Formats: sequence, structure tokens, C-alpha cells
Amino acid sequence: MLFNSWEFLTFFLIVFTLYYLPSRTLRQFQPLLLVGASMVFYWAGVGTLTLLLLASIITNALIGFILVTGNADNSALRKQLIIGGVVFNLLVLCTFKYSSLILSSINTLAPAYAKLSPTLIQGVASIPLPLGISFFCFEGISLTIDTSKRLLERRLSWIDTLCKSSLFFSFFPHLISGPILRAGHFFPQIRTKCFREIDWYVAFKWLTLGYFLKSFVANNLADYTWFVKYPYFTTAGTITNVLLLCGYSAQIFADFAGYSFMAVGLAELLGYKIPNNFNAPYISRSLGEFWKRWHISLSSWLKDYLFIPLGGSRCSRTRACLNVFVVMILGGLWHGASWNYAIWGAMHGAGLIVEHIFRSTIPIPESVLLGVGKIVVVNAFVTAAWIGFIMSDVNHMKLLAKHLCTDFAIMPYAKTLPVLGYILPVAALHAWHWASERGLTIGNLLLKSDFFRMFVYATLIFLAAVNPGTPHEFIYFQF
Amino acid sequence: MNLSISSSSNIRIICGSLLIALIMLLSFHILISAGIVPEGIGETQQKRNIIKVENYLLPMKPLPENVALGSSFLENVLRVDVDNQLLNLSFGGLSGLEGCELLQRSNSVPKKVVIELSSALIRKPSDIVRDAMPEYKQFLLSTSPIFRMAYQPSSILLRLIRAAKESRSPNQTAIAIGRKSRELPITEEQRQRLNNNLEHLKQFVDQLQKRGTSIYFVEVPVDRQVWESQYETEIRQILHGRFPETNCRWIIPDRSRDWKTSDGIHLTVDEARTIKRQILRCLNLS
Repeated sequence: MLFNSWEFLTFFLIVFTLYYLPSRTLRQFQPLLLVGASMVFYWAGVGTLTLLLLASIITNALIGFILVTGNADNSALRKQLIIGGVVFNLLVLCTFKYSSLILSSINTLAPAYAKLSPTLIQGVASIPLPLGISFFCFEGISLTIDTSKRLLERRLSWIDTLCKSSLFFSFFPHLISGPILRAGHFFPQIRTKCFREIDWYVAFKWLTLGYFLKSFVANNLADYTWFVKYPYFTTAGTITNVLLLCGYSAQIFADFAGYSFMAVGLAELLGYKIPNNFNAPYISRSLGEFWKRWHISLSSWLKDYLFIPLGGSRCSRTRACLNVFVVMILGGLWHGASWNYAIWGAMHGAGLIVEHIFRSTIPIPESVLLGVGKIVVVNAFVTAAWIGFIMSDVNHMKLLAKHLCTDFAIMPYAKTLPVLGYILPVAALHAWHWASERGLTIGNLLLKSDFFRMFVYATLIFLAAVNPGTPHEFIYFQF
Repeated sequence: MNLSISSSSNIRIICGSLLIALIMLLSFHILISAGIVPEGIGETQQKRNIIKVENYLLPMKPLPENVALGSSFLENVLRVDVDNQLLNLSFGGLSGLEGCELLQRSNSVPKKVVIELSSALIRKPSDIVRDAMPEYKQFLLSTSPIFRMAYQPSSILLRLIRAAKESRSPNQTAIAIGRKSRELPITEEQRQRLNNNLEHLKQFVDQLQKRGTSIYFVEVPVDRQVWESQYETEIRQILHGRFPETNCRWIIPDRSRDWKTSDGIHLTVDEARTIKRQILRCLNLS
């Protein structure tokens, strides 16, 4: 069920109506209703694989419950439980997502006499990939670690823990594509909700922006950007391919940010605040800043649960750089079981290291012009790095990179020019953020004008309604 | 609702936005209904396909009695100049079975149907007809043309500035890719799928013939090297085995000629015109 489908709209209207029934007794069951609705939502997408989600919920809830209420002073038991919780989630992730990659990679490297049987490789490759597995496994790890750090309240019964954990994992607005929630932030919000508590403006703002970005920008761009894949890009020149790469950059932002904004809006309608995953990433003036603005819940998860435990930046410069590199490669691999994602992560890791060294050795003065220059450089890097994200074959990546640098003669295809039109809203959104963050007069005046805001929202609704692209799944569903 | 003073302006913004959006939609509806806004042509292949589905299932004017079904091979041929005598229901990127589904769904009985038989029939049939026009949407689109793909502002804008006109001159890299992609023979899975697709097509053809429709199969020429590849030859043998030239009406182009293509499989504009003329001649429409 896509958020921008009629099926989902019907589903949500039913859930919303039942959720706010004017009966106090019934409202006590709101969390249970949400868990039930989330299971239906997940079942509609993956069928019997919902059982895996249920198993994950029960196991993580049990570990969390023992950690919070069990023999808290027994440090050996605590340690075992924490390790057990982390290993369980990693095992689920590896079995369902990475087993095929691991086996096929071993097989490629193994000498001829030690090759694995093709039946085994095929069998493992046929293991289905449950939707949103990367998200709920990471949330499982965060639940285990947060409970071990006593970030959750201690007086929860087993049933309460199970109910709250179920909602934490399965809450349908975030279930399939995040944002990755933290138990310490979400658990305290689980209580009876009232209709009058809804912040309608917040919900309206994020839903309108989310639907517009997905329907108008991402879906329309998707009809063009497939052309940047192999072998099609070889038939086009540099300008066309650069244009399409820029289009992909805007598309992946609009697709993922669109989903996240809708998730925030839907959660708001159900009385929950979930963190925003995007904060105009394409106005970043450094790669470090980019990762504070792009997929914020993942980058902060990686920082808290991987980078810092590895030693963070409070160690030697070499070790800190290595930590960054390892974290970025693993962050890349989180996106998909394919080495191209690791390459994409490694590119960002290398970029962050170079940036770190550069900034610590050559101080650059601050000015608006230089700021804009930095934004351009960061965007050029990020856009080029998407090649690693799109292409699953290293040879195809090299071919596209070579093609981009050598085939300057060919003018863009006229049919790819509309891409510019669809990039425009993403550029405008970022320009608006840029202006308002710097307190520029025009930006402030426009933001304060109610009529301007009404006109903008109306235009977004109009375009999303009359000019949607052909339906495409959310890119991040596959992760 | 949160009716505090600070939020009352927010509620006003929500209501105001919805009202302005409604006014915009209504104005657009009026402009379309009054015929002031022209019909767009769809800026991408996917959109062009959907426009065809919508135009056929929501007829605003009488439908032509002659229909052409196929893939981008035939679509490319019939896209050269607009012709009202032959309705082009060929879908780019698809196989031609989608056109059959469209005819079945509309329950219309054309006098003559031209069906392209090509290697595109090896593709898995798509759900474009069902997805583009579920029952609820059929009602919505017939009452509110603003939601039709043909009236998308981007599509209309593109038609007005004529930027959608594509150059179809030969692209040597594309031709090389087209040739390379057909170097290998077809796999068992592909053969199975082709046979299944042809079985569906046969059933559809039989149904139409029973209702008095004349069927013409057309072979759209491709690049010489592609034509002679093992892949294309095997497929051609299967196609002609299922619909033999002795029993069926075929429109066969001059096979001895070296046809110019833009990418190995799609004819250049001039060559497409030649084939189009031949098709119209065979149907007694020229």
C-alpha cells in the first residue's frame, strides 16, 4: 500500500475514524488499534513475512523487558542480554538481506575446488527480502541499547512492554521506510490521544509537501532517469547524462523526503511526533553538514551506535578517519545487499576524510560567495556519488564516469529537457530554506505573508492532483 | 481542533489553501470543458501509453474502425504524422498484448485490426490497462477531465512548445547496443513466455475473427544485422509457425532492403513513413 494510493487513503480513513471514536473506554485501546492496523498494513505488502516482524518484536520486547525490570545488578546477565539482542537483530538482517551477497562473494573469491554448490547459492538468493527489514532491525538494536542504558521507564509490565514495543516497531507511518525511531523518544508518547490535540497545520504542511514531492517531482522524474542506467547512457552525451544525474539527485530526495514528510504528517494525525529525516540537504556547505541534513535518523543512529562505540573522533587522527570510513561503508551497505552501495558509502567516507584534512590544514574564510561555491562543490560530489547508488556493476560505473568526461560534443536530447522543470521545485525548496536560515528579508517577508503561504500550498495541491507522474514505488522500500 | 489564538491563523491557512486549490481545479476544469486547453501528447513513453488507454476507454469522439496493436516498433511507424483512419494503440516498451486487453475491455469490434508480430512479444505483459484505468478511476476521469493524463499541464506545455519532437536520426552507439543485445539465442524461459503470449494472442484473434474483424499481421523491419541475428531468427520462426503466412494475412516489408534505424530496432522517420504507407495500402486506406 503506497501512501499515495487510494487503497491507503481508504485504510487510513478507517483507522483514523476508529482511532478517535468518542468513547473513553475504546480510546484506551488506541495503541492496540494502531498495532493491529500496522500489521494489516504490513501484511498487505509482505504477506506471511509479517511473522518475521512479529518474532522480532517479541524477542526484542522480551530482551528489553528483562533488561529494564530483571536482575539489573547482574552485570554478566545484562552484558549477555545486550550482546544477544544486538546479535539477534544482526542475524535477522544478515539472513534475510545479506546472506546471498555473503555467499556469492565467498564463492567468487574461493578457488575452483572450494566453490559452493549452485543449488545452495540459488536457494539463498531466493530468500525473500521483507519490506523495511533494515529499519526495524536497527530499531531493535537501539531498543536493546537504550534499555540497557536505562533510558526507558522501569515500571512497565510485560504486557505493557510488549504492547509499546509492538507499536514502536510496527507504527505504520514509519514502518517501511523510516525514519528510524528511538525507543527513548517514542515510548513516552504512547498514551491515549485526543482529537483536539492534533496540530492540523503541521500535519497539513508535511502531507501536502510530501505528496507533492512524491507525486509531482519524484514520479515524473522517474520516467526520465531510468535512461541514466546501463546501457542507455552510452547512447547519450555528457550534457544529457549530467542533466539526468541531477534529475536523479532531485528524484531520490523528493522520493525519500516525500515519504518521510508524509510519515511525519500521518503520525501527527495520530498524535505522535516522529523526527524529520531531511533538512534541505542540498544547501549543505560541507559533506559533514550534508550528513546532518540527509537521512538524519540513519546518520545519527550510525553516529550513536557505531561511530562513537568505535572510538569516534576522540582518538588519533588516523583512527578517527578509519572510523569514519568504516561507518560510511557499513552505512552504504545498509542501503542494499550489493557492493555498489559499499562503494557509494566509501566515496562519501573518502570525501569526509579529505574534507576533514582539508579543513584542519587550510582555513577558508567565510563569505556568501564562498558559501555558494561550497554548496556547488558539495552538490557536484553528491550527485556524482549517486552513480554508485544507481549502478550495481562496477564496470558500468566506470563506463558512465568515462562517458561523462569524454563525450562533450553531443547536445542534450530535447526529450530530456523537462527534467529541468521537475528539478525546479526541489531547487526552490532548498533556496527557500537557504534564505530563511540566513534571515534574508525576502524570505522572511514571504514566510510571514499568509496569502503567499496559502498560494504556495494551493499550487502544490493543484500540481500533485493534475500532474502526477506514472506510479512508482518508493526507492527506499527496497532497503 | 486546537482553537487557541495562535493556531487560528494556521487553520485559516489550511482552509484558504484548500479553497484556492479548489478554485484552481475548477478554473482548469472550465478551461478544458470549453475546449480552450488543447489535449497534450504525453511527454514520456509511459504517459503516452496511459493517454492511449484513457482515450480509448473514455471516448470523447467516435472511434476509428481500424486499429493497430503492437509495441514501440509499430508505435514508431504510426507516430509519423497523425492519421485518423487508423487508431494507433501500440504501446512503447510493451508487447502488444496490452492493446488486445484494451480492445477486450472496451468491448468494441473494429473492422480491421493490424497486429505487430515481433520480438517484443517475448516481454512479460504489463498491467498498464488495469492500473491506468481501474473502475473507480474510470468514473472519475469521465466526469473530471482535469485528472486525465492528456490534460496534464506539463504535457500541454510541451505540446505548445513542441519540445517533445524527437530526433530519430541513426545513433551508432545505440545501433551497436541493439545488435549486441541480440547476439545470444533466446533462453528456455523466454521461449516459454513467448509461447504463452502467443497462445493468449491466438485466443484473442479467434474471438475477433468470430465477430467479423479482419486481422492483419505486420512485420516491422529492423537493422539488417539485428534481423539476421540468431535471437531474432528464432523468434521469427516461432511467430510464423504460430501464424503461418499461408493461413493469415501478413504485411511483409521488402526483406531484401537495408532499412535504416535510429537504434537498431526503430526505423528512422523516412523509413517509418514507407512502412506506414505500405500498411495503409494493404488496409485500402491510402
